Amino acid sequence: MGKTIVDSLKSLVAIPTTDPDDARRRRLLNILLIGALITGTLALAATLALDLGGAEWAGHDRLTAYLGSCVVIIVSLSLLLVGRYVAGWLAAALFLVFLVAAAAFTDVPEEVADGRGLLVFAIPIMMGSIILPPPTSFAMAALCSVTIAGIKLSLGEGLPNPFAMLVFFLLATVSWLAARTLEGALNELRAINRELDKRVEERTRDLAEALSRNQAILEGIADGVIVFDTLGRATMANPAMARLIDWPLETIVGSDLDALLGENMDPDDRGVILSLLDGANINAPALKFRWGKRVLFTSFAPVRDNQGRKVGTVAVFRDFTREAELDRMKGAFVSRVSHELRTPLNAILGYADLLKEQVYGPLSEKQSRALERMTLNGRHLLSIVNDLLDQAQIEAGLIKLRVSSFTPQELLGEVISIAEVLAQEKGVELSGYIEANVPSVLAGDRQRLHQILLNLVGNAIKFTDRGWVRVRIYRPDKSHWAMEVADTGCGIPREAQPHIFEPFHQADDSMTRRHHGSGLGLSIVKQLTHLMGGEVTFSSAVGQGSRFTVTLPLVPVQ
Amino acid sequence: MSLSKPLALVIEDDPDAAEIFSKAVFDAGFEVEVIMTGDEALKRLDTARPALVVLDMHLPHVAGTEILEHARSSAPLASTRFIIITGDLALANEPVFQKQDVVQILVKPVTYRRLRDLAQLLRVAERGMM
Repeated sequence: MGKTIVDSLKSLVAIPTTDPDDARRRRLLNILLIGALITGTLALAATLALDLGGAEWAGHDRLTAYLGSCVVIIVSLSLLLVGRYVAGWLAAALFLVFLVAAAAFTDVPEEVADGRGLLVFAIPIMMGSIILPPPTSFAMAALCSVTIAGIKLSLGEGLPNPFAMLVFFLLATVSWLAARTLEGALNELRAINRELDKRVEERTRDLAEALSRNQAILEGIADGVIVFDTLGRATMANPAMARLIDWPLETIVGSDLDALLGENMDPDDRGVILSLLDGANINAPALKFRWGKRVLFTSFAPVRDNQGRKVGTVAVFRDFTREAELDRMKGAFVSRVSHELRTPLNAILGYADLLKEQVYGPLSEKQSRALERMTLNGRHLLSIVNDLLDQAQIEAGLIKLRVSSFTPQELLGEVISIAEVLAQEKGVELSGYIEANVPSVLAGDRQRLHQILLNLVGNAIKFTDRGWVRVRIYRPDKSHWAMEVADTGCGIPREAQPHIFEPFHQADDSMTRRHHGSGLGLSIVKQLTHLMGGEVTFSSAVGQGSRFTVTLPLVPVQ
Repeated sequence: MSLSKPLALVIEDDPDAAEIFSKAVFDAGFEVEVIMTGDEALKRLDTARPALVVLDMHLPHVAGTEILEHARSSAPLASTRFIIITGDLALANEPVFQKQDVVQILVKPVTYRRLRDLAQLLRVAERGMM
């Protein structure tokens, strides 16, 4: 019941218009009318109370009070209805006319026409500019002037008061200016608002689009992604992450990395990963680690706000299990095959050797030459198999350095003595020397250093037809030592230079045919050198020979 | 044991390699006995008193290092010399090989001549010691 009255009142004052100025005016009108309605009702109630209390009324006062309050009630109600169902402007105009009419009866005619009652006319004049378009003030000033003139004339006591009329118009001017200024300001405000609304809408749309795009990327990629805040708690994660570690997505958010991954991790890896998360560095290399039965690959990147402050870290996890397994299988396969290849090869070489040594009796010159070819080709095949095995082991990460102390003198001696034979065959002068500032004992993987140096020297001899190959062991600075192999060979063409360390690469095919080799030698040299924390460089020009330098950190002997 | 010919054990699972190695060791002046498995080698080393053991590090079932350690810890074999045949030079850094005077390492491919000459050298050295 109460609800329906409130509802009907609400519908009564509802403002069916799209013009904001009109709406504002009509809202004001409604407020005024409701105010009038309440005032009228209260006045009626007060009159009734006074009447019932047996108050003494002078003259027509009683009638005036009843009539006045009833008129106010009826007029305000009717105007509300007119405003609601006919037209707002009409209600406003009628209200103003009513105010002027009411003003005319607020006092004795003499005062209204030419005395204190004039003041009351200010109300409809000012209100005109508020509840109807501003120029209405002038119409109201005119109406009020006509009214007072009419009253004055009807009293027959001289001419109407021109000053009062002038003041009416001045008042109308002020009201008009004020209302116009207000409306102008409001219009500007509305324009600004509209512009802002438009911008907010655009930004919101862009943002929503970017968000949904990022969300699609995040959900679409196969890698697990977690975003951590600065306290190390996950603030978001993608479905791939949930699948990867088999946690429900909702429980990942809020957990820290240790809780998510720590349990299945090697303590060393865990330490490294947690420190990476702490100081996420965009340049930090991706890290491969075992996680339970899986192998994961992870990288971290800091998240920064627009002032560059770190607000979190993004961690990306890739399931590397299959690749790691393939790598392992490949390594195992190659090492198995290499072993299977090497055993019969060694037997062939061994028997050829027995024949060559004439253990089974003397050989003719032709037989000797044939045996020589067999041995040479067998050795070549063996070196290819060995290179393949090394390459496969390096790729599979199976090569572990065995560091011990060794003397560079011995290293150089061994390599020279092996390579000497080759050099003599080709008529190339081979020499080597160690500079005085190189320590007499060094620490390193002797066998791998031997392999590196022999590879370089072997290469140098292979590509040098006349002249010399020189090995120099020296100390480029306090914390490094280096092996340098220089030759007077054919040199490496400029266009081939960027590729010489790639596996299965020789300067060109004709060279491969002429100079047997697996094409893995330099690749192995480079990878072994890197494994030792060193670097291999070269300089070469066609016809001027080549110079390869392997620089290695000088490890203190323990 | 023949007076003129000291005993050499060739421990090698590959028959071809075994034949080549025995030939070389025989030609170096040893009496040769070939053992094809690690288990057999461990057993034989308990009783035999070889002057030289040619040992392939890569035997099935029993690691070459195990055989070497077993033999090196046996007092009656204190004067036995060892030639280790391996495909992996890295093994040379294992502590058990650091006794360079007793243990020689040959990296595959091992040629007849190298093994024969080395064995001969050891035989001469041993004779010189006696």
